[in-house]
Amino acid sequence: MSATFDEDGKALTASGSVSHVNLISGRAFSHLGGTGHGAKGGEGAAVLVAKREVSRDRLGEFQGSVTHTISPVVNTNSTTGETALAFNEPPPVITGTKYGYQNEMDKRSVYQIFHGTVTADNNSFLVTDSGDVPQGESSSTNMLLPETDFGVDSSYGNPITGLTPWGGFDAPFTTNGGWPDVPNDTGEPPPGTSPLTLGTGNNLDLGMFSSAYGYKGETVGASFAWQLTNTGTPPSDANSPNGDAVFNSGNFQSPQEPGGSSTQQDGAITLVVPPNRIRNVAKLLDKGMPALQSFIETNPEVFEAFMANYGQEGLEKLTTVLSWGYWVEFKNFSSVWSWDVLTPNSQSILTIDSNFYWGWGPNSANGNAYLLNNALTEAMNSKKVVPSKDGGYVGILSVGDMIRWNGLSAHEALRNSKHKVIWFARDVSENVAKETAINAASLGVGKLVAGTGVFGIIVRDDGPVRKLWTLTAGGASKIMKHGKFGTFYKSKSDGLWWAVDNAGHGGSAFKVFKETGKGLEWIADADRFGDFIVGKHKGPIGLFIPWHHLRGL
Amino acid sequence: MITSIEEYLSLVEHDDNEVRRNAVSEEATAITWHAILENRPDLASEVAMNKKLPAEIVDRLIATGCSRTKSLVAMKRALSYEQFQKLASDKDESVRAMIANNKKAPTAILKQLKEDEAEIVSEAAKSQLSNR
Repeated sequence: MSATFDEDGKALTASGSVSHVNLISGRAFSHLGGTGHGAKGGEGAAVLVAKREVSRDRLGEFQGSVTHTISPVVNTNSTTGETALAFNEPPPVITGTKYGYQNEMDKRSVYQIFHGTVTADNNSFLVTDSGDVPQGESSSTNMLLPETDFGVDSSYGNPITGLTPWGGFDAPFTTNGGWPDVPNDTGEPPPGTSPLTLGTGNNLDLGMFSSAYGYKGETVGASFAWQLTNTGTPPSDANSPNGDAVFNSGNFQSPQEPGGSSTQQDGAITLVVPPNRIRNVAKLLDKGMPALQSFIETNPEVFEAFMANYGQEGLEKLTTVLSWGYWVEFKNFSSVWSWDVLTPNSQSILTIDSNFYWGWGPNSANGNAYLLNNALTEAMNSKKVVPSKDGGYVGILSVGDMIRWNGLSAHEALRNSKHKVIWFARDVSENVAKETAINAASLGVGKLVAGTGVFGIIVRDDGPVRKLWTLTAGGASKIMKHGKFGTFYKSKSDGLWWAVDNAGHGGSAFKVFKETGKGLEWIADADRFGDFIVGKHKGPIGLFIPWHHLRGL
Repeated sequence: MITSIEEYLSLVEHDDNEVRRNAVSEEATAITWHAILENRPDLASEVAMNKKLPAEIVDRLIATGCSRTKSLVAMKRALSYEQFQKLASDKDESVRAMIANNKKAPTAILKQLKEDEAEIVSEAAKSQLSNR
């Protein structure tokens, strides 16, 4: 993964391939990637959720283009015919050329977290940091091994036995001031540590966080290199994989299964959103158009590419990626996140607990909540699930933030969205979860997943995408022009006169007038779908437009 | 379901347009609507936009509403013949014009409006009739 900023900070490109996963027919890892809780053991399906922060706070008002590349590799067991996905990824180096953090210094942070769920017993894993390489004047890297927040989560699966937490957030893999000083470049765990023993249902989270500081123009960033090796006894069936997974030099190398082969899969997706396009999207968003629709309007080829490659899931990906640019461009919140959900079988794994991501922060216990597919927070009546504060950590989103940054509202999304929407909240109180679940059910949503403190919803909405209301000559029986208010169209269907609302206050997209003998009399404002808006009182200007102020076309 | 005037006001006066939409789509009992109209007659037009009004509320709006309110009512397609007739006989030509443009207006009423003294009414009625 990489990201670049141009000289004047007007552009950001970020590219990355979805990181490392080896999914070997559900034998060893059925779920690898992501952050935090994941698929429960035994699902036998595969998903990777990788999250990266490619820049963080105080980078200034950069605007960006975003390149996002996914390059999956399919490993096929020639004996069984089973396949698994892996993803090559170049070292996640970020090149920064712009913006001072302090005194013209750049700061970039990168972290990756991988999450796996073990679906076979008697696996032992060695997790070694074999060379993380932060680059810059001053760097620090933290290797996250199973640790309270990110490690084995006892709320899922069975508690891990025999775990020796030789990782942890701070020790022993903290480097300050340079590299490489990772203590175990030999691939051996530190003294006094022991391999992890994981059984069915255990989750394993591995994370690495790097911060790098560098002078303007320097390359800053970090390369990750981990190794995760299953040292357990392979299954007696020689043709079955033993679940080895190796993260090495920034590229995940999937161990070959006996008789297996590895091939590069075509169809990598590249999303490029030029800055000017993002600005166009911004304008549409400002006018109240939903983010996705705005994007489709301005970037049809990108949208089509996503749909062609990912189908329905592409919408979710796209929506998420949009939230990147949207975030960066419009909110001056200089942090960029990305995530991916890659699935070998989307039908089988598209469940709540395999499709969310979250970050961590000091307020996590207060309900930092994240949603996939932005639109439905409000749909789940999020007004009742608003965390107390924004996440304290850079890049942490709260539901409230997501609502504010969403182009779509909940009900609108429910009505208009074709895609599945997944909502997830973590650390919500049980009552809130129940209440929200009830609200969601009342909206006719799909599957609900609720548990103590963890709660999610899948919304199924197969309804058609609602079209925006447009004023056209074809739909008009008469057209007239006003010197100030522009063109007025008399609707063939209802006889009302419509004009674009250039002011656009309160979600108004159109002014609607009724005809009288003396002129046009305002009757309502309408939103972008042509629905009348209640509670928006008209000012005196434009309340009545005499006929002689209008000229025919 | 809107159950009180306070609830209705919280919808109508909400900053979020999407929340305000509920004021159009949510049902309420006739008692609630009467209470709203008693206490906030200035919101009659907003009430008229609601798509699930009981017939007696529609009657009340026709009987007491301003020109804008009656015009909004006249746009509704689920009106009774009597309601169509009352609106078609309104002294305000713009209200009558709304009925003349209403796709569900009974033919008999359209024929009546075809002879209306106001051109905007008669022309709309003629156009409607010619399309039937």
